[in-house]
Amino acid sequence: MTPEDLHDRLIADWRQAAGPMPRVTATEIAERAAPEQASRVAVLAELEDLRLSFTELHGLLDDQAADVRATSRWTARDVVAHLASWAMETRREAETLLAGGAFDYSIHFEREGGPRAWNQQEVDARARRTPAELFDELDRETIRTMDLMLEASEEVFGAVATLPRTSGDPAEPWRMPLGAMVLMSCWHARLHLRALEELLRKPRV
Amino acid sequence: MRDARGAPDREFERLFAEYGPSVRAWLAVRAPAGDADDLFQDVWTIFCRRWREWTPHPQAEAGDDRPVLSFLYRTCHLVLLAHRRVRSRRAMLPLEESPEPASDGLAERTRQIQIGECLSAARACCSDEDLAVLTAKLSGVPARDIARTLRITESAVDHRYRATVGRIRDRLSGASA
Repeated sequence: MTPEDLHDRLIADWRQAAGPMPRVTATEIAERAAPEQASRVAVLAELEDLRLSFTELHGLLDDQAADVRATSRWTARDVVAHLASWAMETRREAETLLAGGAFDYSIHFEREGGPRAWNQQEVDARARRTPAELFDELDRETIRTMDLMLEASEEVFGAVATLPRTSGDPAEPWRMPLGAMVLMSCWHARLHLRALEELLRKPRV
Repeated sequence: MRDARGAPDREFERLFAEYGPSVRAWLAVRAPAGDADDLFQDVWTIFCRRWREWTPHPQAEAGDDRPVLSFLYRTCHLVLLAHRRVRSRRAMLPLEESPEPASDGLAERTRQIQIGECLSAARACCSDEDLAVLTAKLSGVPARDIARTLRITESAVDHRYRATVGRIRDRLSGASA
């Protein structure tokens, strides 16, 4: 068999395999896409996807880029510190829920700008860390959260939990399943990752 | 405007119709047959959530659908890795702590698919990473995105593809000799 023959046969096999669609529809997929319904496999895949994105961002963030202003208050390095603080907080919340504990602190989200005081305090706490150390923290915490997602019983994974995150006046705690909480953290990290990537890929003058 | 929670928009439906078969074929070659349908839903629910975040949509920026194909490929690979981690974790649990396999009827309505002699040979003689490269190449995922997903270089992707095709040829030649 020539290489060309084999290539043609592989393509034919591929077309056969990628033939008829499953009977599940786009509408059924959309109905099941709510974060509250996410499977453990999907949550793990989203966390691993974040790890890949962090690695790619690390490749873009040299010492010079780390000092680029990313927001009105923060440099690119500060944003990575912010991501590390939320990776830590996500792991901490997951750990507490797995242990069956309650939260003795709260993180209050303002109507605009989120938990500004908590965010700044956590960025300040990491002020002396290098980008490499921050990325190391990000990866370590994300891996630990993945381990916790594997360890969680079906009951803990699926139960609606009360989180330390609050909003409103009077403050009301957020309530959602563990998997949805982790997906929300992934979504938040991606928002910053996209903005940082866009910023760092721009030619610098 | 997209519905935040419920119905998919027409563009999502088009992409589902266009790339659903590719996702299904990637899984048919790489996943255990009984799990492929659940994993198919995991890949597409992840994509659906991401689709709601993307503004503008990546294919609009690039002028084609390839970023979507690459995203689906990467997601499919990560879903497969996650599935194996969950399975191996369950295998370590005592029987009474192991959850019942999830079955929701929807997955059971999907059909088993045939993967053909060459892809069957590939599955029999290649590693999962070889299959990841082979199926990505067959479905038109750019080498750069295969490399990013598998954390290898583009030249390693090409080398692995050629080696995989060589291995399949040897196996088929042996079978016909």
